[in-house]
Amino acid sequence: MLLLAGLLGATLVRFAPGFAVDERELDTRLSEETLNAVRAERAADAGLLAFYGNYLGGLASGDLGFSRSLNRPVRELLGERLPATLRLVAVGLLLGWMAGLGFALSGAAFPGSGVSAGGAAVAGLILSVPAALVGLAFLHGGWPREAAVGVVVFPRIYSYASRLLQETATRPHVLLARAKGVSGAALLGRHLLRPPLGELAALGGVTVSIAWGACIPLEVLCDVPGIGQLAWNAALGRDLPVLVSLTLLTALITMSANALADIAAASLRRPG
Amino acid sequence: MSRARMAAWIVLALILGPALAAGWIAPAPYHRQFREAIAAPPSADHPLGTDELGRDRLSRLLHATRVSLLLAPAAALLSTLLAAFAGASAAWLGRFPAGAHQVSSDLLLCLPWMFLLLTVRAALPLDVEPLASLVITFLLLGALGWAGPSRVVRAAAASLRNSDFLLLARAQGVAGWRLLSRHLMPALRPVLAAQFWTSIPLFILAEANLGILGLGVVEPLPSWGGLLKELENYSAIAENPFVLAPAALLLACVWAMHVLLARKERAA
Repeated sequence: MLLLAGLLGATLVRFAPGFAVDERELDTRLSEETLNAVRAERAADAGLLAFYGNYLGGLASGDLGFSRSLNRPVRELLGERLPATLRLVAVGLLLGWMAGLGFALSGAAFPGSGVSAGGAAVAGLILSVPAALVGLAFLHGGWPREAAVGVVVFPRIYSYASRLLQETATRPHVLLARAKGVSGAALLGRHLLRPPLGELAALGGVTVSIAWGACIPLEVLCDVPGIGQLAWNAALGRDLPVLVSLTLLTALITMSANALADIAAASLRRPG
Repeated sequence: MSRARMAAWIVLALILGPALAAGWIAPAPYHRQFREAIAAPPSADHPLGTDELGRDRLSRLLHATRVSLLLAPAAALLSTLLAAFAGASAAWLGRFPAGAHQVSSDLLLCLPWMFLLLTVRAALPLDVEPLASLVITFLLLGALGWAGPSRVVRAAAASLRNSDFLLLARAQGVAGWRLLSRHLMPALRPVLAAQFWTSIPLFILAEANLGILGLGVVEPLPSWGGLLKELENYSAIAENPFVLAPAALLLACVWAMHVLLARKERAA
């Protein structure tokens, strides 16, 4: 699937209008020899399968190709920009999960307190706002960009977690615990949170994918030099090696996150 | 009917009604420039003021609402039809369609929707006529949005495999395309309807994301996404808060749709 995703990225750029055009050919200062070298370089990527075969051959030895638009090795670019995006996604997810799960737990632990209604209203409102608009709000407000990712993932986490926890709250073991006077942290940790842990772990994989996707508009609008901004520039510049590497990286990250989430969910669902 | 649903219907009617009548009630054509009133504040002639090119904001907002609210259902219809075709074929027409569906939907679903949408749109032609940009946006949303719904359709179609009415049809010699179109599809209608309606708010938001990044419908044709691009300029918001009107309408409209579709979303 990973290799197919890379091929999808390569196909996309190879057949994009303007792929065959190199801005350097318009530079009148360049000699005929240099222009011929530029054309030869471009021709080497013309055959999609030949390009992809060469790319995968290079990938096996750790060579991700060379970015023509940024004039640098792709490996260097990824190494430079990946930390910014990982930080954005990790901190954003942490904030989103803390807020989403916090609201959902409070709502389930204190039914009728208005927390559920408030959380649902906030989640519904945020779900109605495009991620790019969230990015603009954070840009103009001067707020931390990581929190914007948290805002984007919050409603998904809250809605799912809230539904799961409210279902758990009506189960006989929770009602019995309440009747016996169990409350506070013991009720939350032992009785409310434990049964749906598997489902919540599975949601973890999905939220990584959502947060990673949201990074493109957020990084472009907030001028964060990360992977999202690089993907954007690569797509606009028809930069084949960069876009193929980014497609592979994105597929790898989302598939790994989902696989890990599935493993965690399966082990948490196992009784005992 | 709950108060929230009633409020949602009223909000949608208040947004949709004027948008559909934009051609008659808009004070000016959406592309007309009032050169004596560049970036003018709200006035009797221009209730929401004018933009930096002197175009009446209210007229552009009405037309943008119409464009966005017609584009999203059209794209949702396309993606639902593709999902119906792909899902039903995968469930009913043997191993090859099933395998092809599995691989293609896995491929689309392993990449985040926003990543796929923005990179694919950025790689497509950008310097095009407004109408062409509208068609590209519509085709893009429809063509990329089918994978998730097709999984639901496939599961629903597979669950009907041994239903009495389909066994009877097969016993009567009905097979192939006729079986799919005459017998299976009508039974899948509730599932397809749920997928169609739940796709609409998603596509409205997707168009807005594309527009804010300058990849949506091209000027001078207005859309919500295109109008929201103005929000990049903070001073424009400070000078005329009505610049935020498209954001408020978008939020109200998508919120109302989520309220009305809450049950369908859970089912989908």
